[in-house]
Amino acid sequence: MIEKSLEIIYWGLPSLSFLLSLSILVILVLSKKDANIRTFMLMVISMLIWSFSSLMMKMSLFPGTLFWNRMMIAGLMFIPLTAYIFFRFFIGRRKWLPIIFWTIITFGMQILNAMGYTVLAAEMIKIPVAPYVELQYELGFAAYLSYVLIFVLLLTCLGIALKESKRSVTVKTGLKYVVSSLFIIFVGIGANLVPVIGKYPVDFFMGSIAAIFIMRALYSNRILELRFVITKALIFTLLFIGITVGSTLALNSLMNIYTNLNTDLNQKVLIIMATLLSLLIFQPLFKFLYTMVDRIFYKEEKLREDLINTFTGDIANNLNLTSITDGMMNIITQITGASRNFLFLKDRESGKFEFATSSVRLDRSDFSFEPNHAFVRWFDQSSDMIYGRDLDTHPFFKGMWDKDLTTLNEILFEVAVPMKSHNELIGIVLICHKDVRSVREVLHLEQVSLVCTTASIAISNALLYEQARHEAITDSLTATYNRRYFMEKLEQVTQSTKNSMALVLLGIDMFTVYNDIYGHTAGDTALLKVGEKIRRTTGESITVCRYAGDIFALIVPKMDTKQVYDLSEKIRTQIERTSVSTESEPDRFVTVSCGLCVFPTYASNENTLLKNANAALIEAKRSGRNKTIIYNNVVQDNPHKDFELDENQWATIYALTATIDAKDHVTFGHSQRVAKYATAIARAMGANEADIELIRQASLLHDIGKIGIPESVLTKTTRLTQDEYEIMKRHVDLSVTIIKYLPTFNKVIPSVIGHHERYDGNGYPRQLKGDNIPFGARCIALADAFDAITSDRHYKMNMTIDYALQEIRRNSGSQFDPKMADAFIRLIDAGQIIVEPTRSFTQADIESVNRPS
Amino acid sequence: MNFDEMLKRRQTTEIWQRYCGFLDLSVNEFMAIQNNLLLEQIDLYAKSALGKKIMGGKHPKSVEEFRRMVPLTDYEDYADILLTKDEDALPAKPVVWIETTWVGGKAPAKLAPYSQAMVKNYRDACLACIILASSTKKGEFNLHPGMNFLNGMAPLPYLTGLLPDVLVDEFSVNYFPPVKEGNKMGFSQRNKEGFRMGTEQGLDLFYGLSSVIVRMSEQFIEGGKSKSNLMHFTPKMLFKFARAKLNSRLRHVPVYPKDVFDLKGFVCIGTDTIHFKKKIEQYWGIKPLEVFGGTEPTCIGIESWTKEGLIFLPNICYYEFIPMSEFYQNLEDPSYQCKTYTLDQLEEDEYYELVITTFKGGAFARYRVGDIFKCEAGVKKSDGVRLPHFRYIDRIDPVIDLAGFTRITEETILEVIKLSHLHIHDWFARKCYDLEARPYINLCIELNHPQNDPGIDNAEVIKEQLEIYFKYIDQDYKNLHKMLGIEPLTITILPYGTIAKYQSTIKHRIGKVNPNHLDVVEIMKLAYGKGETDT
Repeated sequence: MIEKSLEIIYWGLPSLSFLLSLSILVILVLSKKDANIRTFMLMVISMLIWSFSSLMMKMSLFPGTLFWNRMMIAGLMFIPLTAYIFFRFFIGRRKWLPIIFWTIITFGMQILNAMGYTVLAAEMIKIPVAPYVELQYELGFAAYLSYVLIFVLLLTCLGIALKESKRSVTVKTGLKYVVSSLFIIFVGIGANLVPVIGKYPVDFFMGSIAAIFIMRALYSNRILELRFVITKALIFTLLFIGITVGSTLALNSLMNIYTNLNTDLNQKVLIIMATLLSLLIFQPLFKFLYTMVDRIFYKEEKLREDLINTFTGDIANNLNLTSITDGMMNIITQITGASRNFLFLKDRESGKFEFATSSVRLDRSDFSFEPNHAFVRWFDQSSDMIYGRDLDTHPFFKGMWDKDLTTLNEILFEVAVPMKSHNELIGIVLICHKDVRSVREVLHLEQVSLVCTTASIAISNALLYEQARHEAITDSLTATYNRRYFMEKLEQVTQSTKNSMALVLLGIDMFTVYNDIYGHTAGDTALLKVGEKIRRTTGESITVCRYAGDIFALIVPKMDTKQVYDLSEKIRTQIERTSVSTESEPDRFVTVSCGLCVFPTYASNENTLLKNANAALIEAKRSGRNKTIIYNNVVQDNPHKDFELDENQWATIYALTATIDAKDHVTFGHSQRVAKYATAIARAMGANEADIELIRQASLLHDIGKIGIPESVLTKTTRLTQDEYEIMKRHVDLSVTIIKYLPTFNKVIPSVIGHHERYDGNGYPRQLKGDNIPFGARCIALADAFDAITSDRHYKMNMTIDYALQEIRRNSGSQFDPKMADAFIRLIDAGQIIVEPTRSFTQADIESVNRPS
Repeated sequence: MNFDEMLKRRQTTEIWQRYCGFLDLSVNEFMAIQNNLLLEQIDLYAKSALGKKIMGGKHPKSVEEFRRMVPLTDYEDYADILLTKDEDALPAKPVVWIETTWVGGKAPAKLAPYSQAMVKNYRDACLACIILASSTKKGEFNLHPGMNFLNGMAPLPYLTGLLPDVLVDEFSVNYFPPVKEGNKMGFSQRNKEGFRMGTEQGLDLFYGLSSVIVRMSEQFIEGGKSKSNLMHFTPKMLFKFARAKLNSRLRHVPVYPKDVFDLKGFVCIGTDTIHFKKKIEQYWGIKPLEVFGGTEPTCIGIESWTKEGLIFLPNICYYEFIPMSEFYQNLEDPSYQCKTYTLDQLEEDEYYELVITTFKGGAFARYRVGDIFKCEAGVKKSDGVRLPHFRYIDRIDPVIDLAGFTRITEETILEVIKLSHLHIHDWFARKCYDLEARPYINLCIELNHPQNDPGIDNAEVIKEQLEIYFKYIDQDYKNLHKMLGIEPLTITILPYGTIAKYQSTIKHRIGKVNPNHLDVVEIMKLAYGKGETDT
């Protein structure tokens, strides 16, 4: 029994040591390598040389025992050196000078070994007892010298380790294993110095233990991730080695049995059968082992993979944003092990990353990421995650605001993961700890990143869908619903509601005039501001739509007439007080008229409801604007001609013209003559009666602003200086300012404000060009110029009609509308306009006119 | 985890990244940090009474608006709030008030409030200084807890005195002399005592005024008397001293500090550091690291591991720079608003006056610190840092700063002249350096003795008389000779009327302190027919 055991030890230990070294080397080759692993590989290779040579020696293979013995010693000598290099790398004290020194020393020893000074003689002697062969050797002086040097090397390592422990309170985990392994190697090698012990493979036993210790140290420092090393390739290799060794032993035993039995069975057939058998058992055994490894090492990972696969399948055709984001939060929580997560999605308009959802219900949602936030800037240029520690250590995050850092600290932020679609950052996921007790490393971040990548595409698609849907039903200018949606919604509400509901139409008062005065861009801004104000005042339950150009519609559910009226008035007064110009422009204001109708009290279906609300709106406008009218049976369609002035309004006009005439009596009658010429031109150009009437009013009022011009400028008899001319030009703005206070005459403003514009765009005050100049203004401009030439002025006498027409012809297309100029000349030539003779009036003339009759 | 813990765990990469990571920034990344933190500061500033006062009640929405709307400021603009320590008027609650002398100001001292976040940033900057001082290669440094640290700087309420307080929970070092005892000592005594302790127990880190370090080193080399007690020496230091002495005897060379001390890091500050750095390296065998800081800006400039130029920290202040052309225009016409440039707009080899806006609730906005820098290079080849490197030149012209020890202004000199009763008709003063690169004042005077009083017209006598009053008015002046071995004053007597004659030629007045170099050359030519003259 003892003999058998001795035989097993004698052969088994070197074999085992060889297999162990080979396995470790395979593991290291397959693992992710760093300097520690690489230096350790050197040590394992030395051990392999050692154990391989030993096996060869014991089997007395060619070229002989002494050769293999010296090879074994060569491997043995490399072990302390490689262990020393590994030790220095492991503790982070890479000093090349001592490493080079010991390398030179070791190579010196190797030379002595090669020259035969280490082992003088070695021989395998057959003995009668187990293990039946025994190594006998004679050592030279170099062996003892080598051992002394190895001892010094070991002491050096010990010294470094002690110094390290002294300097650092927390010694690197596993340092004790490495130091222990060095000791074990030292003892193992020392055993060879005593041939009585050295004939047994004590050194192999010690070497194998040392290798296991170092593996443990690497593993405990996370330098070696064994879980990821146990791969198919490793199983395959180990299985292959195992089966090969097993088959060889089995075959050997079989051969012995058959030799003893003296059968005729061919040995070659036996070998083929054994090989086939090995191949047969290899495949199922491999599959079995692989499944076992999967179960042991990758059970949780498999579960997570399944979760991710299910999630990917679920969101593949999902366009519901909430469902995708909720699913994502849920799976991230499961993967990371109950973390607390937040999702922020990019708002396309502001560029901000707004809170979208969190894994914990009712969690804080009071923070967002501005476009210039360090996280956003980081993710714009990189897809690397941001870890909590980065905020302290990475210089990129030194620019973060204290309040942002405080918020992140409060939510126990640990990792930020980017969500990118087509390389554009669309969202940010924050992974946080649930509470202070759960603060530890967040695991499986690679899988979290995978989830985010997958979800990014789905979220991007869902957002695009949402956007397309939103655009289809939204008015692009005012961001309210469009007319199509309004009609659908109105029909839907009137058909489904069992309660009272109302429709309010809000029309911007004199919006055409506003557009004419300030231009269409300003008009668009006004519409935008009014729409915004209405949306802000109404809230979620009320549907706000842009029904027509300057009319908004409100579908108001579950409110009675009084409530709707109050709401309408609230909106109206708020708009009245809100400037509708941009920040860079002076404040400008508009008013709205509101017409409302209640369903089903005054309308039985959506068409009647719309018609009646419209009637109420028209009534609100007709009766003075900037008010709310409730539709009832009294409100009817009124065919009122709002361009006709009553007697009082005409009196206002004449009073105003008389004022300016009184100030500048030389131009007395100018306004009347301009009115006469301008209306004639308008008529000749095919204008309707309403427009002609407006032009008449505008002509009479066009110079009303001259009231505000100093008499010294107004009545100056010589040429105006540039400064005086600038003062004179102000009369146009002043005219508009005065007329604005007369709501009845607001419609004449476009004609008044544009009467000094030139057709070529070089006029004033707004340098309008061509047909952009209001029609009335072009008529007045021509009439004004004609009268100025043909009448007396402070600075000149009147000129002839021919001269005036000649001037008109000359300036046709530059100052005047060419079509109008032609028409006007034709009218004069045809005698359809009688040009009145003008003269300088005396004060008595003026007084006689202004005197009440 | 504090600095000590990180050192013990050998987290060198993490330490480097955390404290010196700014050296990896590109100019664009640097400016992004600057702009972002300035917006934060504007936000805080606009809400405070001080901010409203300085910004004229406006709330700039962008960096450009801020630079356009807010005028350049000096301490006068803050004095009413800061000198009364009106904490309610500040953008952030201060945890400490730092003090410095206010030369030529309406009060003897200037006060600056430091918020919690500012102190934290100052702590990180100090640790960055210490790391870089002990480093000769990127990412590598030589520090461990329990090092012997000679802190030769002034105690609280001066900024340098804040160092032990901010490091107390981060980096455990043995201060020489211990902080409590050192605070009770005068400047000179503290340095001597610290050096004595360092001699006995060894020194690892040295933080001091470069001019003082040089003087102390020279005294050491000369073998000056030491109060060290052999019984207090550690065996290691005893051995080192014995070895150095033996070597000195055998080779007939003096004992240099580098023969005895194995210094890991040397941090030095002071106006004339550039002139002293080589000497320090020669004496101590280690390149000193220059840092730049001040009461108002805190510590803002540090050299990299190559010690070849200051690099500004991105998260302490917002930096603007006034080119010299603008500076002189403003000097002639104080109402002229100088145009400023940001760090990414600077020209290589140009000189600039620094303007700062403190971050993290600091008090100063577009504040003219009064220091001139030379922008040396965008990328220094030796360290690969992509940020501009600066050389500290001096205080702005109207101030003569002598070795970081004292600051002399026009007011100081006027007062001295008045007290001396010397018949000085006209004068100007300029800062010069002697052959050993030590700074001094050259006072050029014109005498105008009354007819019945022959007066003193010997330069040496005049110098002695003026020095009496310099020492009387400026307490630090007398230490210049005592501690640094500097002769701080020389007198040049100009013929009567020279300055006036020159001024009438150029049709404007020259500066009283540090006038334009070309003006000085012309005046000397006018006076003596050559550019410079002996005193």
